[in-house]
Amino acid sequence: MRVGLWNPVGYAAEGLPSGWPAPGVRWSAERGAESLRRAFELYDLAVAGGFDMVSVAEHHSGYGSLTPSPIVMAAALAQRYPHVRIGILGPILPLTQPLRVAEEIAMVDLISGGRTIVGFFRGVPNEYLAYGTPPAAGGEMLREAVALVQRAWTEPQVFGWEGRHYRHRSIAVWPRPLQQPHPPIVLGATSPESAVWAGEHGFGLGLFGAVVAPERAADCVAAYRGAADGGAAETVLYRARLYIADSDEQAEADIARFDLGNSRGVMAPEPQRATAADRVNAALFGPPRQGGTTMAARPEFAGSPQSVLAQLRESHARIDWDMLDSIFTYSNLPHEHAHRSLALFCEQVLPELAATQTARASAS
Amino acid sequence: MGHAYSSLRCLQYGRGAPFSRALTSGEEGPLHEARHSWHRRAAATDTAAGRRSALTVAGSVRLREQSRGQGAAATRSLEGGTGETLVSLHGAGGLNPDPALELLAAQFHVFAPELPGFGSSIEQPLASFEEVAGQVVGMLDAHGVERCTLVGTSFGAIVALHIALTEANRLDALVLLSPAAPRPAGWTPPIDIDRALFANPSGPRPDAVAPELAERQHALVGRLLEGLDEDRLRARLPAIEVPTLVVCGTEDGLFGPEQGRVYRELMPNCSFVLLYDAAHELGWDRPEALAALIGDFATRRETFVVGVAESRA
Repeated sequence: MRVGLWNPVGYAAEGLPSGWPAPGVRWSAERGAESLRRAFELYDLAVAGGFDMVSVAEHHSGYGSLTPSPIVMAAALAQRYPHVRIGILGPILPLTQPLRVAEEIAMVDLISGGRTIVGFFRGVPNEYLAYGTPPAAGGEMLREAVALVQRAWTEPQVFGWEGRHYRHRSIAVWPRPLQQPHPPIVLGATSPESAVWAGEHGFGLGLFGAVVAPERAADCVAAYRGAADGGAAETVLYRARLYIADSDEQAEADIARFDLGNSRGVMAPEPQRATAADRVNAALFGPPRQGGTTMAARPEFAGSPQSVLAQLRESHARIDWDMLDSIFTYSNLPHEHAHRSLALFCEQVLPELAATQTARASAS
Repeated sequence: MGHAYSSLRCLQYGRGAPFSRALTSGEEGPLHEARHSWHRRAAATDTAAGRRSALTVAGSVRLREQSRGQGAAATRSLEGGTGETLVSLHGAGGLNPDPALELLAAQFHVFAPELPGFGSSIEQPLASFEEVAGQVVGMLDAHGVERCTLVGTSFGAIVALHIALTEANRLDALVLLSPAAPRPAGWTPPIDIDRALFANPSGPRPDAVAPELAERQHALVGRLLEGLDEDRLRARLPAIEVPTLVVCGTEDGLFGPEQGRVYRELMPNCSFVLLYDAAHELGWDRPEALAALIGDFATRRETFVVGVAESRA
């Protein structure tokens, strides 16, 4: 099993009123610089500690993430970390120009010496406010955009595209990626049906532990493995939140104290605008649904290093993921705690995971 | 060329009862809705062949059937609309216009002749595409068509190419839809014919062709394709300088969406466009998008690659 670190590069927002979208008046150059310093500190720690991948995602308009263009961040990571995989997980294709994304990913793949892994996900509905993209069409646009990007990376002749959502008359994407025919592509799924679709079409599978419960995740992976052809493209990426403290008791106390697992800090409106924001959210998400997608209220893996190791082994055995895309940062968690949590993982959990894998490999 | 062209029987349809599926509205994305505000509806019509349930796309013009001459010289065609002339050559299934053609008749004078040897015309000892092309040129002359945009579908695209080789000076533009040649190396016929032809499993289908007629057309298509020297055709493509558009469906299961690539590669003035979410039968899977694309190319030809400003006041 391989492990990556996803860092959303949250804003150093201590003491500021919460609320999404965040007004520009809350921006400070010093806090911005500090945010990047903290992000690189955690990436440095993970890479030094033996992680296989560093990854970035696309989020807009608030404290939660300062990487609205994950590809720009990926280019920086590729330069700073010359030996690990660069996870671009991922650009939200319906929000922008898919051909531009295809060109920029190809650039990063060249810059990084062919180390990129790409995830194309639909994104959180409120991201669709960033550029006014209709959220109801997001799924359809994503599927077409992925087909367009793949074709743009592989078609040997100049071509046009008459789509349902995209129209181009003269497509010639240069450069092409270093990895041929293109970098590995992971598609997100929340149901066995969408997991099967990803497998049948030669994509990797991405599951977010925060929105897909373990038993459903296991069903998705089983369905995916049944549909995939077992080739190099078959891979399951499991994105999950971790929190590690010196003891289980300390971890539980910190989870309660810092309200870990509460993602409202990323997406909730300022209190005085809550009523208006509720109506906007209803227009974005539609009326609340039974069984709809909700975020789990606590980290997927939490406790002492020994507990988290046991939880990860159990999860790996149950869900059968190939790569863990881990998150150690939370909107309310002080940086020192995130740093400590990740350091404990590197020192006490990761070597044991690696040993497990080595033992299994030599046994087989 | 020992390819299994006999499998092109699949292009004869013969799916039994006439289709009666109505399209649902909203098939196109907002881009198309904004431009055309077309809405689809199902309509019933009577024809000489009997009552059939037909598809009509709002904004389209129904084509009228015509006959000329008698006996062996008899020809049948469909015609409608006003404007510049657009000639459509049908595929191996025969003269059975798709909804895209009727949409084009709202913008162009559409003339769709039945190819010699097809349908009601008397069986003829046609042995080559050159002969077929020559007869079609004769039909254009008899019909007073001096200049036109020539559109060929699948099998008809091969006929259109042969016309372009000899009559380039009377073509404003050439449009090849899912061209049936040259086939990819090692080509084998698809197992699921319907899926190869149509991306939408519940979308509209052409009328079934009577079995005996299908058999006769099938024999003709097989004979012509077996006699086609694809290497020679390929070698002649660079000589066709007419502005050309080749369109293939991303879901084409008959020859694959890459079929159009060779034209872009070998012809000096060819644009290659992929029609997303359409299989071999482009005009049945996405009629509005195909008609808009052909209409734009017939109007602007190779400059259709240039974006058109749509600013707001």
